[in-house]
Parts: sequence; structure tokens; C-alpha cells
Amino acid sequence: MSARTAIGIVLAGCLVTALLWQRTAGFSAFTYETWRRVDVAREAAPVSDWRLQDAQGDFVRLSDWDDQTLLVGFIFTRCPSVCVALGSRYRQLQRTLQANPSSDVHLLSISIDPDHDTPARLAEYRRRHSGQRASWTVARPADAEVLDDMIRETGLRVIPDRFGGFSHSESLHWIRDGRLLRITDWHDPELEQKLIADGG
Amino acid sequence: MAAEPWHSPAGTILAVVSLAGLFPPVAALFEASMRMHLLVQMPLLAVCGGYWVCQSTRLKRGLARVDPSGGIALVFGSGWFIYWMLPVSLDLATFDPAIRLLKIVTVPVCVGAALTWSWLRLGPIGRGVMLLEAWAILGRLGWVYSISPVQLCSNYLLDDQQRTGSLLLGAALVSAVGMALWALFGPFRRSHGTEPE
Repeated sequence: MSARTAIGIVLAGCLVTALLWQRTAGFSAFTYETWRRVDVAREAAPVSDWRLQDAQGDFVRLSDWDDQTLLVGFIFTRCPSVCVALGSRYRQLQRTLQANPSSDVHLLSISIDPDHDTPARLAEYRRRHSGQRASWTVARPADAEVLDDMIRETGLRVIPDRFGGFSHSESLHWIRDGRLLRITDWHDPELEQKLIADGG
Repeated sequence: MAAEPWHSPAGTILAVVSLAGLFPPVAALFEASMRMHLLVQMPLLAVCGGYWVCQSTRLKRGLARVDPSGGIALVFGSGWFIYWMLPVSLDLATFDPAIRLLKIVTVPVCVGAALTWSWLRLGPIGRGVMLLEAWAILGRLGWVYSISPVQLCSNYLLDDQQRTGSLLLGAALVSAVGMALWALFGPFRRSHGTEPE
């Protein structure tokens, strides 16, 4: 092997290693969901002031909670699997918030199926999980444009499943002052501490 | 032989079908399921690049000057091959136009053409290693996709992922058995009557 070939091979190796390093955020993110988390934590990208309709039928905006940290989960009320688990988890988190009134976190579940999820169905979803209105808002996007904005700005992927529902990310999104600060697992055992310690 | 591959009907068809993957209706068709994306479009793009190398004497002359041993192409092509096997790359290519363009350009050039060039230059041992590694990657990936209870690609449902995994394992198995038969009964076989040394 000539010296030129050896140098070429080393350079090609460095190039593809750098390429893979960049794509996987330092060999840590091999799926889109983990890559999205790393990207969000790095960028703290702004989100627009989503207009939502809550379970009482009132219209609210993200900026209504400007002095609080929002913990946002995406659900749809017909979902038989992860949204049920998310509902139970939010109820647990609400108990933690009730026990620690100094925490400034507000829980927000947003439907990705606004055509089906009327305010009455949203209220029923929270009731099913024994949730209370005070620190947990369940809402749907006010219109299709808001839904598109939410999906684009958070990098959420929503795809139809074969049963008339959706397959979607089950992660939780921490939003404060119009910025998406981080994305975490709903089953993160340290979530309660994060709620109390620093509001996320 | 045509001077440039796209002067031949097969080359034209391959190039047109590959480039058509940039247009939304065709892209939607190719990317509709994980099977179509990973097992139809990606191989098609790679074959397009490979065909280009096989047919173009001008390209072969150029490559022979830059990389006479095929070693650079092997390292470069393998890296890009791994890149496009990552679930994150597959996902991003379905909704990020820049990554889709990257796919249409780099799979033919950096995977198909590069690996074909290194294949043409390697001896039998190098080719054997290349094949074993390809089967190992297909097998590992197929295994992960077929047994993972987690949806690895956000754009494809779990059952699609599992079926793709089974097909990858099947492809690895069929090609390995095919190559084994070829090695046993093909041109490498000792002639009849020769005693083992």
C-alpha cells in the first residue's frame, strides 16, 4: 500500500467518523426521538404562542402561563395505550405539585386529535384519571394551523395507526417563556424531584 | 458499451427513477413504508451508483488514479452505508427536504459507487470480508428491528418495523446461502478428481 493510499484511507475514516458523530450527536442518539431531545436541549428553540381550547371550552394561550414552567404531553382521548399511562402519570405529578405548592410547574395535556376531542371529552379524560383542574389543563389546539405549528416547533412525529388513531411521541416537553427547554421521558423516576427542585 | 451509463436505456431508467425520489408524490410512494424505503428505494439508489461505476470508463480511469486499491472507497462507502442504516437518518429523510436530497445524492455516489469500486479492486479475501460484514450488518439490523418492542423509527409503525427486520434477516440468509452455494459449486471449485493437498 502506498503512503498516498494510507493517508487517503485515514482521511476517509476521519471524515465518515465525523459524519456519524455529527448525525448521532456524539454517538448518543441513534433514533429520531433521542436526537430530537439532544437538539432541543442544545437549541432551546422558541415556540409560538399556541392558542388552545381547554376542557371548559375557554380559549387560552401559552403566554397565559408566562410566569410558570409548562410540562406538556401530547395525547388523544381515544388512545388505549400510552395516553392512559400519561394520564395516570400526570395525576401522580399533580399530587406531587399539590404537596409542594411552591413549585411553579403547570401540567398541560394537549390533544393531537382536535376534531374528535371536544372539550367534554377532554374533561372526561382528566376525570377518568381523577385529575383536578387547578394545576392540570387539558386542551386541544384552537385550529389546524396551531396543530401544525405545535408539531413543527416541537419536532413531534404523529402518524396514523391502523385503528383510526395515531402513533406519537410519548415524551414530555418543558416549556418556559416561549422556549422549549428540554424533552424528558414520562417514566423518568426523577421527574418528581425536577418538578420540585427547579421547575424543570 | 455506452460512453456514459445514462446513454443506455437501463442507465436512463435507473437515473430517472432515482432522481424521481426527490418529487413529493414519488417520495411519498417510496417512503410510505419502512420496507419500501429501506429495501426498495435505498438498494435502487445504490445500484444506480454501482451501475455508473461499472459502465463509465471515464469514471473508472479517474477512480484508478485517485484510489487504485479501492481502500479509500471501501472506508468511505462503509461509513456512508452505516449512516443510512441509522434509524435517525431514515426518519429525517422522510420529512426533511435537505436530508432527502442528501439521500438521493449520497446513496448512489457515496455508497453504491464507492462500494462497487472497492469491490472491483479487491481480491477474493477482501471481497469475502466485505460480504461477511454486509451480512453481519444486515443480520444485526434485521434482528434489532424484528425483536425491538420499541418503535425505532418515529415515522413507521412497530409492525412495519418488525416486518422490515424479518425481510432484512431473510435477505441476509438468502444471499449468504446463495454465495455459499456459488463458492461450493461455482468457478472456485477444484476440478473433479483432484485430491486435497
